[in-house]
Amino acid sequence: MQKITIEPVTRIEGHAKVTLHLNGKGKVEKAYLHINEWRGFEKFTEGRPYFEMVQITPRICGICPVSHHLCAAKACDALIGATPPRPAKLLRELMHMGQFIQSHSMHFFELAGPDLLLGFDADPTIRNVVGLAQANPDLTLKAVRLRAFGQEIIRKLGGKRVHPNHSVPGGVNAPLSVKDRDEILGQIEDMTEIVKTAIGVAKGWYEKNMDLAQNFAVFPSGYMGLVDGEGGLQLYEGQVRLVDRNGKKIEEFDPRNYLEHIGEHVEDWSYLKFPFYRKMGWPKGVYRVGPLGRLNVVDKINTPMANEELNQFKALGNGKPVEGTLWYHYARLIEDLYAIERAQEILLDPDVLSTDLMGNASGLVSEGVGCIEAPRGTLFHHYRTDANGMLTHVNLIVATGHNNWAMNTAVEMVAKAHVDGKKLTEGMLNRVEAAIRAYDPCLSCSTHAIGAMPIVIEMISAEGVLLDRLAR
Amino acid sequence: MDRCVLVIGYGNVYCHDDGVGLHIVNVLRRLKGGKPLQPDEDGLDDLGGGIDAIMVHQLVPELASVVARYDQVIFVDAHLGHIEDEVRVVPLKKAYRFHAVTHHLSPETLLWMAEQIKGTEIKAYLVSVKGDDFDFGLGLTDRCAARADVALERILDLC
Repeated sequence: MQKITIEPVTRIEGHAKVTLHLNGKGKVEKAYLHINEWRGFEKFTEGRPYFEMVQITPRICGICPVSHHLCAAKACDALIGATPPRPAKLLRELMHMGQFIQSHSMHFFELAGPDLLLGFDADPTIRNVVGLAQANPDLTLKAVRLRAFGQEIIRKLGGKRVHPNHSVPGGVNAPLSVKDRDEILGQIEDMTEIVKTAIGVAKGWYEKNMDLAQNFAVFPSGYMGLVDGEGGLQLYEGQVRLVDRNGKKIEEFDPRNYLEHIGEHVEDWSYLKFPFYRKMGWPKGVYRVGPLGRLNVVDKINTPMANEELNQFKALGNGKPVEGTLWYHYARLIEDLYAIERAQEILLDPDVLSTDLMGNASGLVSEGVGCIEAPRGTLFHHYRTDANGMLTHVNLIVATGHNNWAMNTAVEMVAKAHVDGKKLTEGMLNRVEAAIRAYDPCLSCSTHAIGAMPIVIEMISAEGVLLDRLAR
Repeated sequence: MDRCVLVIGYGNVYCHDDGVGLHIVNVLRRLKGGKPLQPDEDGLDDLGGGIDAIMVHQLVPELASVVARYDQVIFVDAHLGHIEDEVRVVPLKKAYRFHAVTHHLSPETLLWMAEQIKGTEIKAYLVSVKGDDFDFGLGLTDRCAARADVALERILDLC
């Protein structure tokens, strides 16, 4: 058995480092967000049987394991030539909606909330004790209930809230009971109201801070996401649509052909690659994914309440894509609402209780691609196998990778706007964190030890001298 | 109904010593006549009163509503070599702090959320055990297992 040793051990914690490079005039010339974490999943899964991927790859993440679970299952469907029956697809999508609800709700209530309610220059000690929930204690419990609701959908289907066991190549391994369906349905109305409350909180903030929202890390890019045949938002399956910086559709392709359209640029200062649209090349072909990306590519959302919010979102761009980084938060909540509405639709579908859960396999082929919209953006799993079904090649393009360029750009814009002189300030760090957090990156979820994953900012002079360092 | 003490082990049980929480949680569960947890079980569905012990992969927000039902909570984690103590026990106070690039909560933040829900203070401790091997695989190193026994005694003193 081969063993891969990764040193230094601190990599199990991982960390994100931002370096700001000054020019001769002491102004920020360039900023880099370094991702110093390397997980090695693509390499150490080589030689494993393909069907293990639905359980191995969710270990990449403790927050969005369902995305990897489902994407792996879809890649394995392709490998064995099986089409899951409609009931199985519905149950997979239902679990996916559970994940969107838990992940998006957690981000808004627990992660983005302080950014939305507190000034970036607030005293850090005040930021420690004042937050969304302290301003509205009742909302704390509601937020916890909403996140728990999403987790409970996952548990009812897959037996566990984290790292569930449900999808298998060709379908799913368990039906949904009437009791479980009714229990989930019974909470839909309450959960809808909680998300609508959150949208109200967010809109109130945007109204009061429109200048900030329209000027904080605003930049043009392409956008990417899955759509159905009518341009509607799709999170489980569809065609990949790319639009340019003006919102014009430039490509719509079958995810199986992703390599024809997506290239990956490598920089020597980050372990995370930089995907781009091949026909436009690097760096012109950069794009954004995730909630902002998805809502900028779709023409509509197929559920009424979320579609109403989408119309308001689209109006912000005056016919062009919405470019501001802070609008990710609004887009995320619209998708949260969609996930609840879509979960209700699925639960009311008679097929959701069917026990026709496995498709017939036509035979093992050598290559399979899976694609799904994870909460943070488009996710690809691409496997190649030998004649015995052992993996010979694995390629994973994860959402945080698609947004790598965008996060770097956002950090650089914030740094250029707010760093002056040779001293780093807490307010500056708060802004950098807010810019990164809007993309909801997922860098170090599966492994941890005591202590938080640090973020470090270093300021380097034109002569290469370290001028200041701030860590949190 | 309020229960006495909740012990929360957390960590990745598939990374050897990072799963020290599971070892301690299972000893506690056996002591109260309960069923030990398998690596993929959390114990959240059989909370019974007295001393409850669960094991989770990460500290996540929905645990706040569970913690809020207790008078005291003890978090059990592994730590790296940069903390010299082989077993460290520290009282915790609530604190609200989130980070840009992680999604799990700190024990202090989870405590803060739980106290928001409960409306009163919850006594809390963090018991951490030094680990030697965080590579992939189940089970503790001998040295970590020995430290876990010490940690267990400290936890029982706190209960």
